[in-house]
Amino acid sequence: MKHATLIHRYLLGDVTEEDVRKLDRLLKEDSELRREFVFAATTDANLREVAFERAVEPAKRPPQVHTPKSNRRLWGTLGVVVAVLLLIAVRPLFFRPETVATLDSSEDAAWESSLPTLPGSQLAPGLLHLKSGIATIRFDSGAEVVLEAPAELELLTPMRTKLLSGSAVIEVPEAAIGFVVDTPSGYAVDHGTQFAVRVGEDNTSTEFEVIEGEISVYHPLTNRSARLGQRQAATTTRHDLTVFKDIPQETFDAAPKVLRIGTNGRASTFLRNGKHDRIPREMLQVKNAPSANWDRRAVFSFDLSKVDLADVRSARLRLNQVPSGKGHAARMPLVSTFAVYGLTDPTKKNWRYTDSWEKAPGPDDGTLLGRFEIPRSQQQGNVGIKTATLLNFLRSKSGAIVTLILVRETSVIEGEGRSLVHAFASDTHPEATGPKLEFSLSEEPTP
Amino acid sequence: MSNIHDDPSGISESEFLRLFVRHEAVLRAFARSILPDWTFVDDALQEASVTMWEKLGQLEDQDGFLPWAKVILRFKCLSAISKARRDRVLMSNEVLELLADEAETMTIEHHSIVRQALRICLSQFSESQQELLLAPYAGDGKVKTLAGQCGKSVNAFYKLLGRLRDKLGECIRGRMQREMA
Repeated sequence: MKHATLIHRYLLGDVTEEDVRKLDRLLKEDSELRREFVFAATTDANLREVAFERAVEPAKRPPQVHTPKSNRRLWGTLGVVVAVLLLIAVRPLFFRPETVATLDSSEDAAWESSLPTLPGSQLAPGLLHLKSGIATIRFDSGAEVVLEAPAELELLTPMRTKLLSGSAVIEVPEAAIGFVVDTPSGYAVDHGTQFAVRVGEDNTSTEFEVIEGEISVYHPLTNRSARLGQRQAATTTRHDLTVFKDIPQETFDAAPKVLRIGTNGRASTFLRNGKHDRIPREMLQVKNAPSANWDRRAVFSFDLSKVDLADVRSARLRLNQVPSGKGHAARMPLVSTFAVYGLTDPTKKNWRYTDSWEKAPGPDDGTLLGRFEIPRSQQQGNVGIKTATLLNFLRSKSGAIVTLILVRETSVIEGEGRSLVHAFASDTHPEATGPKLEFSLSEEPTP
Repeated sequence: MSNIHDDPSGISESEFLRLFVRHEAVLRAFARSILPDWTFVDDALQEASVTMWEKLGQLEDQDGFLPWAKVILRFKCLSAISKARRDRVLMSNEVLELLADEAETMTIEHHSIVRQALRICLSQFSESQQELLLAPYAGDGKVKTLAGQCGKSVNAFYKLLGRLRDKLGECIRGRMQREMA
């Protein structure tokens, strides 16, 4: 038997007495093997934690690890106070909570996550991937994390989270002092504060900034740490920890770097046959099937009166694709192309939901702003355009209401059955957010 | 909560709880390096937590927590071993002390790096392999049940499990080397 295999079987309890004696002999002589043994034991401990995390997923019973006998022994000797303390101390194992946090709110958030993403959802340990927007996650300890897209956050326990990428502002009430925010290059322990964490784009560095209060920042590889107070910041990289004192206040008061505006309900689908009312209002649908009367296009407007376009560096139209439940993807080519037009015909700017196919704004009434593609296998996700033409068009309409027209350019391929209808969330969609214009006011990280 | 000790310069009760919870996983792994099975580990850690609580006055600051907790836990582990020795064959105290020395160096950061690598590596196994890797912790008989479902002997399944753990360990090591590089 290989030595490593012997160690595994020992840890699994699948060894004979002779095996134990053999392992004892081997370990006594070989320090390298002892290192391997401790590594295997650590892996065993970690695997067990993963097993417990998975075991408390819904519909499964939490593991019964503990024996009532030793419980009684302890309770008897130590009294209620310590019993209660122990209960709290060992809770992460024996009474591991099913959830660690609640998704408090989300602004224009689009997710890619195995966890539920509806506001109010209880979140179990796991990874949240925020593709766009802002989300507030309230940990059961009381700590609040405001996550800004694009970002990945791993929820570990009510007292611990890991920011894998992106940035977050963390607010920790007194009850949650000791809250830990881990990152790929260092971690922060909170002493009751508000602080900001940003993981660099290459994931090898992290900035920590105290907004109010105090935190400690630890750098595991050098074993260095620093306690930061107000107006102090630290950067951790793979190799080092650097502290900055007396950083300018403006850093925190800076204007938001991204500004998003929605359609405020001014969004509609138009059908060639005029039966717009057949389309659920929570969706904007597009389809291109010239032989039938069921062509659709979507029209939506944004009010630019509150956006100062002079400061804007780039503009992006974001759409959230949602399943339409209509038609068959098999009748589509592998990839469909969509085009976004900006309305230029002033006579059509006061379009209404009840307008006919001909009267409603269409591609011929405007100018092409950009195209995007969706593979036929994709039924949901975040799509859109970010082009200079879009920004220039919006600039030319500064302060006004702009109308955009969305069409699908790709038609069907030969075959039987109805072709797929593509749908995007409108403002009234229960889960996904409606069309958004997103303006970045400074250099924005590459998506 | 209580006033078993109220030394104002030391660690408060709530601080102790937080420290304990934060270091629980690394302490558990430490005990696992010394003790032959998980029942022993859980009992030893629980007893150690009581002792830590009683002797909290010794602890001067938070940074000293982990080394201090390991001293207490090591003692609990070795005394549990000496009792268990009556019923079964165990490794010698000399070797267990050597293993404890080796495990002593484990920090919370190192532990979390292993954890993160493990999560990624585990996801690279097929679903049924993952199920088998996690089966030993699902209570008595889970490995047996899985073996039964596949019509294999339990012994063959433990062999397979050992090989899967080998592969998992290699993957974790590889990832950690890259991460530390």
